[in-house]
Amino acid sequence: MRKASYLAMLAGADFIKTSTGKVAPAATAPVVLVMLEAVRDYFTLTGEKIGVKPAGGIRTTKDAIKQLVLVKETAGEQWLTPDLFRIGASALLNDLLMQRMKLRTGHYASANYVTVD
Amino acid sequence: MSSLDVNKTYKLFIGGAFPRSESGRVYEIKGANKKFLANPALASRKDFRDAVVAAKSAQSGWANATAFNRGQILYRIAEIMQGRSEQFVEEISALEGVTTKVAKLQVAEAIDTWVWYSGWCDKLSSISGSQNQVSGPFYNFTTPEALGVIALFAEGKPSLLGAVRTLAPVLAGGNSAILIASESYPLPAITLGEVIATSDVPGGVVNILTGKTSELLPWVGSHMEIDGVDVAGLNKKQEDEIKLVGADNLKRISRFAPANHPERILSFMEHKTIWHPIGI
Amino acid sequence: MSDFEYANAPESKAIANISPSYGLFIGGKFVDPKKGKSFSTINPANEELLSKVGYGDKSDIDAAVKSARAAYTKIWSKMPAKERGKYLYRIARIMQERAREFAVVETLDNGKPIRESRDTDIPLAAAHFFYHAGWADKLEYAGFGNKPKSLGVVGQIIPWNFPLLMLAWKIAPALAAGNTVVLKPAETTPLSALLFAQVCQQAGLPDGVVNIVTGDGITGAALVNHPDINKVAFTGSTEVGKAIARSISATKKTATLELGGKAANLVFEDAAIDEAVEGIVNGIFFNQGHVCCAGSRLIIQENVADEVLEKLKKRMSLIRVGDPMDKNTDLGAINSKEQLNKIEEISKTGDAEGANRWSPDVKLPTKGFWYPPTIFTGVTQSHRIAREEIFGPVLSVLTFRTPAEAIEKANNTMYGLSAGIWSDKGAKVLWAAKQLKAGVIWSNTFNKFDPASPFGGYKESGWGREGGRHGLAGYLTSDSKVNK
Repeated sequence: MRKASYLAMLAGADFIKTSTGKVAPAATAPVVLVMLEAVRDYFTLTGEKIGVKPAGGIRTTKDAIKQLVLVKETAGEQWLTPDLFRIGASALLNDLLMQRMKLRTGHYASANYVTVD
Repeated sequence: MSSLDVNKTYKLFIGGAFPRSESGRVYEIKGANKKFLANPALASRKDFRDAVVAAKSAQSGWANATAFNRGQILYRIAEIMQGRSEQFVEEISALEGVTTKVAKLQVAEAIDTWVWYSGWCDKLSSISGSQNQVSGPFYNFTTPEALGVIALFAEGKPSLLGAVRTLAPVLAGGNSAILIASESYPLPAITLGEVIATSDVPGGVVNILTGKTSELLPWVGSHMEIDGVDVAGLNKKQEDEIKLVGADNLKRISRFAPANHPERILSFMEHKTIWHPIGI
Repeated sequence: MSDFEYANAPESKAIANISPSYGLFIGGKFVDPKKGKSFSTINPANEELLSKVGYGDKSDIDAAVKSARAAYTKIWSKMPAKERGKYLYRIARIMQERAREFAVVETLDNGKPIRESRDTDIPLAAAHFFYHAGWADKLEYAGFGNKPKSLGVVGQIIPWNFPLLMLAWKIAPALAAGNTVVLKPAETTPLSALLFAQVCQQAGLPDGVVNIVTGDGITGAALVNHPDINKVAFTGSTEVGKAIARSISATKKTATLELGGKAANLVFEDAAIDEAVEGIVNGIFFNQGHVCCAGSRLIIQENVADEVLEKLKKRMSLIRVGDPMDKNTDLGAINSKEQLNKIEEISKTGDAEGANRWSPDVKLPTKGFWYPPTIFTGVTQSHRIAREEIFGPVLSVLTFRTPAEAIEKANNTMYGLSAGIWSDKGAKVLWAAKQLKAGVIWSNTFNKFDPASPFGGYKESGWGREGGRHGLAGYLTSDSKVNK
């Protein structure tokens, strides 16, 4: 993973991404950790900031928050911007909406109340 | 008027589920008092084939779980069995014609057998593994490993304990199992399946078949995915037959004395020795 | 720049149910100390009073030993081994059931982060009982002869750094081997032991098999010197360990001792650096550095020293120091004012002797006992901070050029408890492991414990092993050794 990340960055990538997100296993914590370490070390070496995009397997808001924590603890707060970190996910949006409903109403939401399109 | 009993249908236990025989056949079991008890399934070679598929697929996950986890699960089997003691006592009394007192002793011993083997899971390499002092700069160690899929022919009497004392050691070693219940005393083996099904045992690690020993025997002996056999419930002639046929893939075939012993675990394990150089 | 601050994640105290006072656990019951004295135990994170526990003196120790002896003679030594095992299984299972309660009590009494008690201390403690339950009726296979015998009554004294876990390391093998015990918990951390006494009651353990007498060093000495115990098991400082060895020298008592350490954590040039940094941080900051086997001397190969130190400092800046009951916390409170004074005293010698101190900027709470994660670079073997056990979150950093030099520096200590090796080359790891004089060696990992893995030290780090088949030896009679 680390080697692949370096190759991509040396070849001029602006973002490194795990995969299309339609294969499994995909953006697990160990994988994303190694990519963030590579990006962090590349920055120390060259001063250049490269973005990271994990995709695949990030289905819930909790998964997404874990990814953000990984970014903050590894590459640093500077990476917490869409220019340097994005999450590739589809099911995630509706879960995020349901979490916001719970925050607003105080009780657990249902998928019936968010549209699939 | 008192409520009518809802009698149990005794099905097979394969892949964590309770299917009927694909052949649709059953056979009659009467109690010691000659009264009808149940129609357990009469397993066919295809049921056995399906059980092997389930056992094979579940085995590596079971072997790769931590020994601690396996030990916890075997202990859980004991816990659940303890909770169902009365059910087993009734079943054994009716089937074998023994007194409640004798049946209770058998159930207690069966529970203790699970506890005993549960405690071995994480201690096997302490007694059968070693770091070997070879004469050279090498780190050399031997470690016991699960064999694979083991077929077990349970003894008839004691009907529950006989099944348990073949099954528990095989699981402790990380193998998956296909238990062929005694033809004449099959019922506690299926109830044992119910205990297994509710004890966090992954589906397929244990499979239990009831039926005619003579019908299943040649299929068990010749199946190339069966790695080992415990012939407790077979007579000498059947044992010889299975040894002859089993030679085709060098099945590890054993008969044991009844007592609990770590050898019952280790006989269904392999030993791997690993070398690694020592040096800068 | 974004604003991504973590919300507090407090674990609730509600499950704890700590009594305002506790008696001594003798003969299966909680009883008042004979002289009626008690002492306080506080939460080191905020200095609040948690409870008043009984103070056991010589007469209470005597009552406890008598109870243990009666239980041994009349019940425990006569009980079939498999039944003994079943009591231990029950204890293990109840500890698992009440795991969260134990974790909260442990954190409140000790000051360690709730994540540690919950994820490490308590599960390992329960696992120790489960593991040893399985040995109880299998001792004839353990390599100690056909009919290994128990010793009798064992006096056990445990430290404050892993209160429940150290209790498990002592009581589980003792009982599995057929002995009965009198255990004295550490003065500052009695509560999880008293909760454990309740578990013994719930498990129906026969009265007197386990006795818990809370107190201080004087209580401990009374136990060590009691004429009717057969063995002493002690975990604590090397100094006290030696005192115990002297106390029992003219008696028939045997002893196992788990003492101090000053472990070397060796990072070779071909180590996976990011992993090594995690291992270094875990090695010295886990449990606030209150660990006998802590990797307290970091010895880095020169050509990667700068890189390792830079990454280490960045990593240390992410360590969260604060409320142990917050699930975000990495580094909790120092266990007592006394220990904090010791840490401060020895660390100051680091400054005085010319080493370079560095800590990240952390805001320490105002109440309670706290010390920031600290490293000293430019350390040499002769510095006190390289030789003496600090038992706090303070790391001394040295360097080496050749592997042989690494080994020489690592072994240059009267301790020999543990060591760490970081290298991606298997042969090198095994070579280093062979050279190191340490009882526990972690390769490309650190601070890993398991009931099946024997733990103990060379040289002045102690006598004997705990855990695994080897750990049973300390609780069984020997076929060969003679006790005159």
